Amino acid sequence: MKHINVNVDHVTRVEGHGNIVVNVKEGKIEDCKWEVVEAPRFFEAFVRGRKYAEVAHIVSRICGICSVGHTLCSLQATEAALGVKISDQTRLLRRILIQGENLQSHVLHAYFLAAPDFVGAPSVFPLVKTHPDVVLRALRMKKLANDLCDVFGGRTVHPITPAVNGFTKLPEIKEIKDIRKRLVDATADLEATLQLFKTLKIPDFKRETEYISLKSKEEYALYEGVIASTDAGTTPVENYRSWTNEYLVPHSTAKYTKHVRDSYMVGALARFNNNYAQLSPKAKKTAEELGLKAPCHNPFMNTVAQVVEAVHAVDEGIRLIDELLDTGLKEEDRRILLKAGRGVGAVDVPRGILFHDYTYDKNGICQEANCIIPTNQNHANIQKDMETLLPQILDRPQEGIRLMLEMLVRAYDPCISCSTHLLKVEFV
Amino acid sequence: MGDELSRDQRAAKIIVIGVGNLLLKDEGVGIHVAQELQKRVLPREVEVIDGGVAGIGLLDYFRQSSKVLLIDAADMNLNPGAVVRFSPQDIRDQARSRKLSAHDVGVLEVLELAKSLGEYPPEVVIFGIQPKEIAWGTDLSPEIEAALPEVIEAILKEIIG
Repeated sequence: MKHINVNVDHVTRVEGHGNIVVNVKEGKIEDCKWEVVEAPRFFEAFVRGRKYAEVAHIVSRICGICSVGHTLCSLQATEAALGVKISDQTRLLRRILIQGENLQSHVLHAYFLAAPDFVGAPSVFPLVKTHPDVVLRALRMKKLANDLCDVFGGRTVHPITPAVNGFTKLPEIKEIKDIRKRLVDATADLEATLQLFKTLKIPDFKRETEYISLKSKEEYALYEGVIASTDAGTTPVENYRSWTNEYLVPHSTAKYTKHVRDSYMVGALARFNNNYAQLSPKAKKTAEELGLKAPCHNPFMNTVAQVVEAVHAVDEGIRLIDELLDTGLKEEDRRILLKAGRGVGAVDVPRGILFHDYTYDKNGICQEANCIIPTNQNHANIQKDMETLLPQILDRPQEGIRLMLEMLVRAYDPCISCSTHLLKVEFV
Repeated sequence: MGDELSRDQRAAKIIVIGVGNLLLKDEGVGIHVAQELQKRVLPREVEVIDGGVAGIGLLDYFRQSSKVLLIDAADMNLNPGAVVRFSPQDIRDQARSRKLSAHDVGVLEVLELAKSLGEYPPEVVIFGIQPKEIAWGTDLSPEIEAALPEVIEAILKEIIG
């Protein structure tokens, strides 16, 4: 009978550290676990005692990949707490900025982290030699997204101009027009991306789960909306705690979440399942050509949903920029009246729905804070997927099983204990 | 690719980039140094970047610069606060052996990628600072705080001479 022992410490190409532990004795599964070993983030400790204007800048440092999302979610929560109603202009600028981050992150994940698996390469480095056009295209698209974030957020990462009730500096019309032109010119790269992902074989696996994302009447929701579930309708973001139901498991230090079922999924595929009808026509066509149909219950297709959203991000970027150029930009009064209060923000960031929740005193000093990141909401779902997938692939060689489980984890694009990249140096 | 430079990287010849995470105590030392340098009056051809945890995004800064100075927390098995100036050739090449993870894209991986793409800057110098504690928090350990003047002085010497 078959013995299998898969022990992947720190799944590579995942942002941070997660372990896969599988133990099969005489064909019987004894252990099948997704372990997350992250240091508690002490989110509250960073922001408690800070002035309302500082909070977004601090939380933007949590992650280099979702720094726009954290910033905007934080601003939303602060504005909700202080009773600030932002202008249409601010809302529009933020909606453009979040498209930039979605494009940035999805290009990175689809090209650099997921694609090497499909061509059998251990990382992106060998691809530079074997597929230089692919790597250069990915970098070109990523740079476009970075520059969009620079124009609308003041920096390529950790945005600096978005602030409570507006922007400390508005982009210049010329920069906006330049970015618009580059978004239009990205059509060829998006088409080539579609052709590339058509050649990649996505594992055939299905497990239906609950899919949770934001939903908006107006557009494919990223920046704002209500919480929506494929199982349970919608609810206002203020009810996030009763929909996330955080709990602890013995084998992980991260908090897990569940709602209607044992687990739920957030991220590009969840958004796609909830909001397919609001995608741009080109994004819908991309989905069709890549064989992605809503509802889709194959978590490996999350990467495909990211490619679809990358197309949507470019189309939406152009559409929203046109709206902005049409109305024009003007300096606005950002002054606010302070008051005590609590507020919740929710933004659908590249990896899924993100919540920030702050309580301020009458002087605008943060008293309490909570944050639930998308990756933590996916942990239980990754575990359930592994439990379903493993028995289906037990007949494969151990290496094949290991790769398949790693690919499953990577499909979720998890971000675990983000942001430690300390140099480990050994002098020669 | 990238004929146009983004706004904060125009035509600088020497780029000083501090990298790290400000929320992980000593891991953020590179950012503390960059922020301190940004307060100084520096020659026109020098640009100081707070690189944060930009990962692959750092590649954009490498282009069109004649010299890149990187400042980062580095585990060198030395006493906390020790400052070492080295070049990437001085250390064992680990970029290839460590598979690329999105967040584990540190400066060595980006340099490796730049090399593969033929975009390696003519001169690269790294200032490594040995951290004491890497844990969630915004303050530096006293030993690291005490090392800041030495790092700043060494960098100023490097760029002004």
